[in-house]
Amino acid sequence: MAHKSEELIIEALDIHKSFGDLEILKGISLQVRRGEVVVLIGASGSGKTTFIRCINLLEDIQGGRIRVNGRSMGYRERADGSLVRDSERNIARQRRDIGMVFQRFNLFPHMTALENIIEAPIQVLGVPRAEALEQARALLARVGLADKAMHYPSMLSGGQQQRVAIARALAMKPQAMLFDEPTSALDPETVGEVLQVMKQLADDGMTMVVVTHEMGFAREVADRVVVLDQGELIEQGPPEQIFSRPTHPRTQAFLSRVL
Amino acid sequence: MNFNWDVFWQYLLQPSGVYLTGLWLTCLISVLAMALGCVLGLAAALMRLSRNPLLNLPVRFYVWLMRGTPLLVQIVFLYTALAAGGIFRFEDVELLGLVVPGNIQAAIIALGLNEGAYMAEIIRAGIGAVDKGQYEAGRSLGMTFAKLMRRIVLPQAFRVIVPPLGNEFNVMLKNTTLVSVIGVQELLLSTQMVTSATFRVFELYLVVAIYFLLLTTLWGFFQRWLEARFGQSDRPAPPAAGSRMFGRGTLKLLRGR
Repeated sequence: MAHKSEELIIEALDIHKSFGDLEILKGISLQVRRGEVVVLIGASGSGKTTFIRCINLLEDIQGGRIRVNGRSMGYRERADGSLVRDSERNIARQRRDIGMVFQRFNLFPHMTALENIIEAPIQVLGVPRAEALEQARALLARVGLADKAMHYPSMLSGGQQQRVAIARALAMKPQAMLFDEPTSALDPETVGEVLQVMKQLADDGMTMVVVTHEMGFAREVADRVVVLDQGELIEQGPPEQIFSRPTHPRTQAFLSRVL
Repeated sequence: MNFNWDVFWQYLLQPSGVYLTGLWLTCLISVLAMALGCVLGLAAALMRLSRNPLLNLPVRFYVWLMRGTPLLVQIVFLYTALAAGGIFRFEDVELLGLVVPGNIQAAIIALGLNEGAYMAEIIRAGIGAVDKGQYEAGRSLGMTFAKLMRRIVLPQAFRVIVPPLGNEFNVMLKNTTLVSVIGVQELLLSTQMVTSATFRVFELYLVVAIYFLLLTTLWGFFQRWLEARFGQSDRPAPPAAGSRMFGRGTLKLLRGR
């Protein structure tokens, strides 16, 4: 597509992650170009959620490198090749470049939709309040919730909450957005409205990495589908190739179960 | 029965200056000690959350010590024993043109230190009750730990903290009687002084009991109001536009604006 550039926004190289003795990620590498929409699929426990959580350092990694926008994320490499975690302040700074949308929305329950959205721009970026408010209203309109600005999260449906969460992440003007199963906790009738917002976002050229079980969304919106299985990246390619002519037997097995 | 109704009514309804001073001191010491306890408790709770043993071990020691020894012993130890040991003596200080006697300082600090240990546990539980996803959301938006605590976690923890905090203050009101042993003329000591002059022990102790009952009852009303206002769960406030679970003033306070 025309707006895709060759510029790499996210580079994950040979990511290793273990919980105790259990190895969750066994050396996963992924490069995402500006404007690209990458959808991660795979069975539960394949490590896809853990992988995108590693990208913005919500999980420690035991090996590998992550670069966002050319800058190394969160870890400095010692002379012997081992990784040391960067300072908290630096990590917080690096996370601003990446928006994250969670399965359980994680809106701040003590703030209205509008307050949820202006919180980080004002507190983290130091945006003047009036400007943040204006931007927040525009974002709410963009996700179709202009009339819900003064509502608390508990007064909104799951789909509405998730759209506010998307607006909240966008308010930081991130270079890329990570979606961790954004529709898995939703009632079936509200899944569509969230996917619609995500599709709009993709059409606007946002760089996105999406973990989802919505194969329809992957087929329609993804530039590239990546299949994870047991902590390994087993296959990737354009959606029509993955869904129609999967080459790896484990991809075939997975797809035959979900499609 | 040796009971003089006249004396009883007189002291109950027309308390002497000594009594009123006692009442005032009881309230003052309770409020200041509680405030000190909250500040200490918050600091201790935050330190306790740290994985760094240099931060969380001293707090564990502090809580263990304060909860493991009688409050009365702590009060006497701080004021009398430390002075007798030549370690530290509370002196009268002048503050804003008012002389604050050493024993009142010691009373506030002793009660506050003790309260801090209990508040630390209460605040820790409150913080622990905040969903883990809130931390992740704040972090993913680029917040540092301090900002995350101040803006996201503590305002939510506050709702869990309010009910036990109210109970703590109720206990605090009654515990102020303990500082009579270091000569602070709060309600109990005032009563003792009056009884030693009038020998109307039964009547006067009945009056002091009623006074405390009155204080704790008044506080109970306030506590109920406080809980209705702050102690809510995530249930929505009535959907009137702009209605809030927190008052504007408190929100500003919590957010440090």
